[in-house]
Amino acid sequence: MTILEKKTIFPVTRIHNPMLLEAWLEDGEIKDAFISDTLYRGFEQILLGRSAMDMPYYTQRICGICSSAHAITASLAVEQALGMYVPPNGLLVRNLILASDFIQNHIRHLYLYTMPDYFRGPDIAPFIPHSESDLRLSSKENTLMTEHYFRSLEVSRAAHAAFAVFGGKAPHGHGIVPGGASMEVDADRVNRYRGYLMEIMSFIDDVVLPDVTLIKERYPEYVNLGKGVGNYMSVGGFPSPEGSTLFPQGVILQGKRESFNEKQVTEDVTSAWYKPHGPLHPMEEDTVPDHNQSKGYTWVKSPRYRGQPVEVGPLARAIIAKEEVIGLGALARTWARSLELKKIAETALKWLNRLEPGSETYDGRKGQDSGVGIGLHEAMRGTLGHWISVKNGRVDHYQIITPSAVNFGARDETGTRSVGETSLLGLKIKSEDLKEAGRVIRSFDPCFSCSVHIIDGEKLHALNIQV
Amino acid sequence: MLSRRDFLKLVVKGAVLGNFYQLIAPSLAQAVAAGEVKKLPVVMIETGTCTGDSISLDNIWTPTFSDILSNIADWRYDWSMNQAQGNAAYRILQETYEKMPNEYILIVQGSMIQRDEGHYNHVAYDKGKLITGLELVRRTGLKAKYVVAIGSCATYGGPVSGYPNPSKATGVQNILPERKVINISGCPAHPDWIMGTLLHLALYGEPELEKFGRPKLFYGETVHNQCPRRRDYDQGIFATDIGQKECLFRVGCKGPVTYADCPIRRWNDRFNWPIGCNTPCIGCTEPGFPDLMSPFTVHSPDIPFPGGTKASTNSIGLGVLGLTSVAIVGHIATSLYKGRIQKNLLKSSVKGKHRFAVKKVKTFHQYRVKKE
Ligand code: SF4
Ligand code: SF4
Repeated sequence: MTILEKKTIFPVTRIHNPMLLEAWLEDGEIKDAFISDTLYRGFEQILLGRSAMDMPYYTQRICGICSSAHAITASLAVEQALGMYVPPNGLLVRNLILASDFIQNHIRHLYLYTMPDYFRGPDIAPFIPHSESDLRLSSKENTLMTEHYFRSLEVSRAAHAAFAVFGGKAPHGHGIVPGGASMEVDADRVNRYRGYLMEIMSFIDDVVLPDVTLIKERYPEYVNLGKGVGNYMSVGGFPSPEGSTLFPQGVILQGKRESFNEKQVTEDVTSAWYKPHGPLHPMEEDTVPDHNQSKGYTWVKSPRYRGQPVEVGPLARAIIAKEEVIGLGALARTWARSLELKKIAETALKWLNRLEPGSETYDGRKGQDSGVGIGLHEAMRGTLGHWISVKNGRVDHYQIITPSAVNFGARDETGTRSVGETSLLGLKIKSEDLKEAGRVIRSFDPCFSCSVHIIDGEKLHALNIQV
Repeated sequence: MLSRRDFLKLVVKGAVLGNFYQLIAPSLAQAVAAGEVKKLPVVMIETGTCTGDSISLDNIWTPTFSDILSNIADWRYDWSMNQAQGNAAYRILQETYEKMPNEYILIVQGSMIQRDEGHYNHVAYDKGKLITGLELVRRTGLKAKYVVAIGSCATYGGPVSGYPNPSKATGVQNILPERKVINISGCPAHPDWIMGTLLHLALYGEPELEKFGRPKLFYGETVHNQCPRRRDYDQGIFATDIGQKECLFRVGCKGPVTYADCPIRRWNDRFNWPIGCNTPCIGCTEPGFPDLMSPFTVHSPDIPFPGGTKASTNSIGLGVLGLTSVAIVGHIATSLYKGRIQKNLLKSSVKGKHRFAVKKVKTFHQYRVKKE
């Protein structure tokens, strides 16, 4: 009988919002892991009773780094519920706003959040104290990486400026509204957007792709360390006026491909701090926090597809789209993210060329003032879904499933671990600060501001796991 | 060193020219080099937030955030940027408040989550104990030289404190009554507002604040009074839907009661801003955002005048101009301040079965659910 050793990292830094990792080790190997989100805000309750037309603005406030993804998804849901139509030009403008937000997010994630796991930053705060273990870059490469780190700030800033060209401001833009986009299209704006895009595209080719290649060569084992559960999902996204999408839709369960069916999505709260209910479809479920729920260890519910945990994000999208992947672990996710970055920037240029100056971008007509709607769109870190029911223009029911909840949800009623918790199993830890685990976790680009919801005071769930 | 008067001028000039930071930062860098002031020690605590204010700050234009990190601020603790994680990261914070009392600036981003004594929001782990955001902000706040709340959430509660406020969120000032909190509101706060205030603190100490604790240099005037569509408003020319080029008052614009310099400063490389994008100002810098300001995109309700007459918002500006519009704006402002129309808006924005009985409480959010 072995007693496992417990290690806690809190906060897991360089992600959005608080994440607590509790890892159980035996001879330096992770045997079990619990990932917990330690913040509850309760957006789903706050949305009730508000004007449905406000949803794109309100739901953006769930997350500051993927705000426009919430705006689009909420708009899609409201448009379906109220029978609204989006003109082709409006569709393209919305794609352009979201594309620039994807670019900003991916660049910031790659440089500000991922790279510091692999290089040694300069001797100034916030890089000190350094995490010294397992650094493999030469001092020249380190200097270069530091330069790129700082340049990435400027480039991601330019991406947000591109966002604001059609979105008014970023983050939490105003341009995406039910019925299309509020900004008209003219040559000045198109050129302005193109200018930012050109700067971004050369940065991707000259800096991002070579840097990711270098890291993957220096840390080859991480290409496959940190694998998920082998299930992948994408709901698709970036529609074109002809109806095709840049990201295809699909699911892979245990190696078998199938088409995505919204009805198979459920959420379960067995191990999360909510009033208990079995797996329920988002249209049926509620969100009633119950901090004393004895099995609870996180505020994140457990979204499942046909009862199974699935991985979402750039790697999943690449697999669903049958694109080349280099592996299934941490750096494979990073690699997929950087290629997706390039793909989105290139496609944005095509959308930009298709815009028709002067033709309408917005149509405010509504078919009805009550109804139900489902908004599904891929966000930066994976599948995002908004389920809404509207009565007389007001929100009667609202549920949101975010990518980080899909990747990092609680254990479900069968005790099955999420993708994120599974990816840590078997990881060999040599560093004092569990750097290895940090690398794997960050490769998902987790964002706990959106996944919502911990731990009961002192009683950090005292599971005494014995093997 | 730049005089304070020149600094204030540059704040406005920089807003117009779009190079605010470039105009002001060199003198601080010089002052730091000459030993006149110290590199600003900063710690940032994130509580109930979406991290939007960090992202907004990364968006600061000319030169960049990197310049701030290398020359101006000693950006010690910021969990979205620290290289260290876990205990090593927390130790930086602990060392700062234990060894540098009265030297560092505490920045708080996010609402103070008060439900269950703050246990709905844990932010640190110290000697095997989980620490709440509430506790950490009080601990570090009482020892800081300045406490700066950034964003709608940290200042007045923000979107998280929206009715029925399930996490009992509120602003930092409410949990630190014994000291002054400088409020940089906005959802998110504009990077110039944050950095401008930090630079002012470093060079000249506390800037002049208005009644809600915001620096007058950024929040001294309404959006409406500086708005390029103001002429439409005065002539009664109103947009009937979002996406149009006229004054957006009738589609819900809260510019008349919102204090911020967005119309001149604009956002992200200063090419555009919410009204420039043909959408109403949603009043994101005001106490009471979002409930007071919602519905965001729906025509504001008719305004009862003192004396019993009702001014329909359709007729504002039409012919009567000046006086009426001044009276209406004045009226909305006092009503907001006294919480009078908050009750009305709450009634109209939260309908049907979701409407709870409300009671009056003395905070920026004046109405709360009676029982849960
Ligand atoms: S009501 Fe709004 S759009 Fe109209 S002038 Fe005032 S701030 Fe500008
Ligand atoms: S215009 Fe109004 S809503 Fe927009 S950022 Fe400024 S204060 Fe906030």
